[in-house]
This record gives sequence, structure tokens and C-alpha cells, in this order.
Amino acid sequence: MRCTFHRIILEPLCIEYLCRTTLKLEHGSPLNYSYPSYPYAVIVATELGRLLFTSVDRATLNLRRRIQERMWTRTIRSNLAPQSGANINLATNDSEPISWTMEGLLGKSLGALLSQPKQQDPDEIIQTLCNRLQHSTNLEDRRAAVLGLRGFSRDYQEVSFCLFGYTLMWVDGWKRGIGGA
Amino acid sequence: MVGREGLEALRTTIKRDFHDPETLRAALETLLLVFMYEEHPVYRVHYCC
Repeated sequence: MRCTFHRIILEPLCIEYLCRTTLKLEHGSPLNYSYPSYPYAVIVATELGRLLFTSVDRATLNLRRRIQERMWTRTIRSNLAPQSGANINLATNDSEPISWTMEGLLGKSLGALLSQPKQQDPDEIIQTLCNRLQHSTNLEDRRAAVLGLRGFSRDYQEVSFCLFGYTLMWVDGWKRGIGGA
Repeated sequence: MVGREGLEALRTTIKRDFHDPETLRAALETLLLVFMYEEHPVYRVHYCC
């Protein structure tokens, strides 16, 4: 029970506190997700969280991995195309690193033309998979749809979960007498 | 987010394909991930009961 309490309540709160502290040192004001240094703060906080606790929860580690990938692609892009460095902002979509590289090498318009066509909306794909899962008569199709859905449930999770959702889940579990998620 | 539609589809799959271990396992894993990462309190209670 104590372990569950630590993992579910204390770790996310401490990591958020560390984020706030890191950003406050830099900007003089508390947590704001629009700060460009927010990803750095998350990484620093998770590293400290790893030192403080035996393991950082999986959702936070996923968030950290995504932010690291984004930072890496941004670095590649800024190295390849320094002239467009002023327009760099934090990407909100999870595009492939190759398209960033092509964009940097060939310029924005040509890179957009040569890179992959516009990615489908994940919600749309999930809806298609659900339809296939419910209405397909072929077992193989249904199995493939379940596997696809599993991948999406892992990749497109609610990010707010790792900061605030724990408390809700914990209260929910507590009310039902489970004592944790 | 898989959402409510995904949960309904998973429910159908678990009912229909329980004889196929691989599909059942994938569906149950997906269900677990959905309940881990998303907030579906009503559905969670429904599944638990």
C-alpha cells in the first residue's frame, strides 16, 4: 500500500514540483507549458525523479521519450538549415524524423512535397479499426485490428494523466476499496 | 485515445473471439492499456462488475 501510494501520489507531484522549480529558476514564474524550456524541465525532473525514486512511472517516461525525440529532430533540423532557425518552434505533431531532415535539406515547400503525404488523423484510424473489429467476419482482420488498437492505446494516451490523473484514479480505486490503480 | 467506441469494440471482440487465445490476449492487453492511460470510470466499474 505504501509503495502504491508513493508511485501514484508522490512521484507525479514531485516531478511536477521539480518542473516548476526548474522553470521558476529560469523564468521567475511557475509552470507554463508554453515555455520553450518546458521539455528540458521535464527531462531534468524525470532524471531527479529517477534518483529519488526507484522507478519513474511509465507515462512520464513515455512523455520524456517523445520530448527527447522531438528535441533530437529539432537539433538535426537546425543544424541542416540554420537560415530557418528563427522559425523553429516546438512541434505539436509526431511526424517522422526523416521528414524533418528532408525539410531541412531541401527547403520547406520542396520538403513538404517530397515527404510522405499528409498523415491520417489518429482518431480516424482508431474509428476504422473499431469498425473493422466489430463488423469484420475474418478472424485475421479482427486480430490485426486489435493489435493496431493496442499500438494506438499506447501511443496516443492522455498526457494529462501523468500529472493530475493519478489522484483521480487513486480516489476512484480508494472508493471502490481496491487501494490504488 | 481509443475512447468509448474502442472499448465497445473490445468488448465485442472479447465476447466473440474468446476461443482464439492470441486475439483474446491482444484485446485484454489493449483493455488494460486503455484503463491505464485513459479515464473511463463508468466503464471501468462496468467491466469490473
